[in-house]
Amino acid sequence: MTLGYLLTVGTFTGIFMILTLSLNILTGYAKQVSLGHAAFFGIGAYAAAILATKAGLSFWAALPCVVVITTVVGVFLGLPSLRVSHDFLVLSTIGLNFIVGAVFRYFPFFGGSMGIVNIPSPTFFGRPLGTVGYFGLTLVFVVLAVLTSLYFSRTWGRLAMEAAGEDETAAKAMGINVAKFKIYAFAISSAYAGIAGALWAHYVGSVFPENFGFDRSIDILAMLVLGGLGTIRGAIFGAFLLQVLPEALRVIQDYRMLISGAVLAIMMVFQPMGLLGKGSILHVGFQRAWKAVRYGFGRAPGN
Amino acid sequence: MGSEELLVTEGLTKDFGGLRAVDHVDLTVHRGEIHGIIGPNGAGKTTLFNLITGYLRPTEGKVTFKGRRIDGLPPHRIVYLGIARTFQIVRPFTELSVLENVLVAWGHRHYGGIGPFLPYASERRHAMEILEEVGLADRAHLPAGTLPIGYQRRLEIARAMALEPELMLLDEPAAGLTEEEIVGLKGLVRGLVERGITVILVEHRMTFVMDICGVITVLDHGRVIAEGTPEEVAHDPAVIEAYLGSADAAG
Repeated sequence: MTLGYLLTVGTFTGIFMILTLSLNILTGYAKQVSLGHAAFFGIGAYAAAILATKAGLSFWAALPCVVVITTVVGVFLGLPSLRVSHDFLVLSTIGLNFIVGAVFRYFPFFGGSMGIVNIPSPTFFGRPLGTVGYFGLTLVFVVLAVLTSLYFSRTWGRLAMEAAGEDETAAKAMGINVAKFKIYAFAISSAYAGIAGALWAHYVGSVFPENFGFDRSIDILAMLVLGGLGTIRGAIFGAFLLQVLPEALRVIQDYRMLISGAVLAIMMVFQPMGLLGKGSILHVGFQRAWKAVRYGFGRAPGN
Repeated sequence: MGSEELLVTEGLTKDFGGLRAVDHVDLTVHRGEIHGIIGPNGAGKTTLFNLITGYLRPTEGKVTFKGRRIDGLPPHRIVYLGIARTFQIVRPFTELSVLENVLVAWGHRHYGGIGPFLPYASERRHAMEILEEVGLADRAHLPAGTLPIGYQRRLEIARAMALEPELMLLDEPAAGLTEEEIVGLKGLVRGLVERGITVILVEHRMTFVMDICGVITVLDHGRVIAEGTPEEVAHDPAVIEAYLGSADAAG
């Protein structure tokens, strides 16, 4: 294995970490289950591709525009969540994924099935970013995504989203404008997905409709569910596991969809909170171990 | 009893299809009261609550709070105006901790503008004070879904207190509680009044209502059939008939 290969795996893993953090806001906090998250990712990637190839903007100049475009479209695509909930929302997000995919495929403006190619690699102070540089760039955005997620998890907005996501009737009685916080969740989640999309487009150098299909949405959801819905550590860990493991075991690479599907099904039945989620086996185990270390083995704290 | 009219409903009516659940109800609640609403099952008590708190739109009539019409406003707007409610079937946010549940309600003053993007840590103390007042402080960090029903009812009231309302509507706060827990609940409700909160409560447990309420309104088939002090109401022939006439005798 060469360093370049490892850095490539690292860059893709970083992009997926940003995506799981993005989905964590929407599905983990606001409990709006999205099976179409690749659509938001794709909108970010296509926005970056078009701004770079047709408008000639640099990565840096385009990035704020990409975030704005993805957020606006994300809010628009989130509007159905105000009318439908739970199972029906899941179905409508699948539908959105296919609609967005079809728009990329059938509208010549988006390059059709030939996609958009020759997206330039970003430069940094006039010098092109190599593999190392791009990994560093991705890492910076992963760290930013983690820090902003950590910050957001400590805000009134996260509390309101969780409340509105769990019980709309009770949330309204707490003075929460449920519709507003659902839309906030779609907006924030889309902004992260937009950054992930831009990183993808400029790294791969091309975008095709099939990069952002339904199977990709399943991948992203499987990562978050495996790690632990509603937790930042879970989002990071899940993306790491499902992105790095298949690379390490090349044999299973061809069975990606099988793995993602199986992970979703198995986790939902046996560990719905994920490997590192609140109340999961590992999380409780870590807490016990930590207490044992802190208070001395054999002595239970408190009682 | 204070004399200021805090909440007034005039001709309040709600139809569900062909069924008239609430039928021209005129209710006046004065500031500082504990106002009981009783009546047999299906008398329209919870529907009345839902009309006052914006969960249902009246078919006819109006609701006035502090002289301002509030019917037709969405529930969260009515909360901002100073009316809080609890639910007959407790609705804690089960995945949030007890403390976070109260914080969600305390946060109502931060849900506009850039408020949602500000951290809540600095106001944790206020939520803890409320938990101490209702006796839940030592359970603050448990997931709310794991509390027994008696504590979940206290949590409902704690959340409503965090909204700092002028008027609180309690929907069957004593349901499912033991006699011992009801004694605690009485203290809690009287404490609300001492804080300056006016209380309207719907309740089936007659001894509790008779003990705590200054004024009682009796509903039957969506209509007000009697109103007065607990003694007046208890001896009202229409009330006796409504209760004895139904299978659900007062207990």
